[in-house]
Amino acid sequence: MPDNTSNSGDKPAANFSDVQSGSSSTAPADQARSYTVQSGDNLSKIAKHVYGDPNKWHAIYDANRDKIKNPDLIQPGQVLTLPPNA
Amino acid sequence: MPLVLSLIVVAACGKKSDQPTTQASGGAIAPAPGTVQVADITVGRGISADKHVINPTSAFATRDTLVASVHTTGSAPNTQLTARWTYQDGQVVNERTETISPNGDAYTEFHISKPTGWPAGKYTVHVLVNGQEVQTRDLTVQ
Repeated sequence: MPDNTSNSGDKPAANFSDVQSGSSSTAPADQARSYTVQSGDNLSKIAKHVYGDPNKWHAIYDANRDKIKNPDLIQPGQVLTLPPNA
Repeated sequence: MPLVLSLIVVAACGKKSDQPTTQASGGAIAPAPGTVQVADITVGRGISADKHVINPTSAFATRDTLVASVHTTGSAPNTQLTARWTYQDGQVVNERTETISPNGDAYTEFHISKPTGWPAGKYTVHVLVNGQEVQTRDLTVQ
């Protein structure tokens, strides 16, 4: 029998703390993407657009150290690697 | 009958040659490139190597493993596919996300188990694509 049920307000809420989970897919896992810098872009703007968080600009910078010497200076036309799950 | 045939011939000849030639085929609509869509969710007790549910059912016993197989179509890199399982009282039982980069049809399975047994009641698995809920399936533990 289950160790915990709840059918009314008098009974404790069901406890799901011991639930185990897993997942898998036939689809390939995440992969790095590329992004071509547009006029007016900066790393924070790209990070916000891609990850929803401008503070993740450093992840883009780290993945493109060979292309970006100064993180405050990126050039239109540069193709940057966008790491997955930054 | 000859009159009917004549009308059909006249109607056919009346079709302009420059009209669009596309037509509804009744088949599946190919998703736009760059998007992933959930075609179907199947729930059951087991999963095959190709991530299809074995013995689909929505009625489970307390010791069963709950499995959901999500069939997606379309292609897009780094798509977040989430299964959120909830109990009838609104509690989130479990939530798990797979990041996938599918190229066409794909099947992703999510499974949950509870060694001490599931409380009887109604459960729902909510499937989200990039954080947006797209489909749900209800199931019952008896």
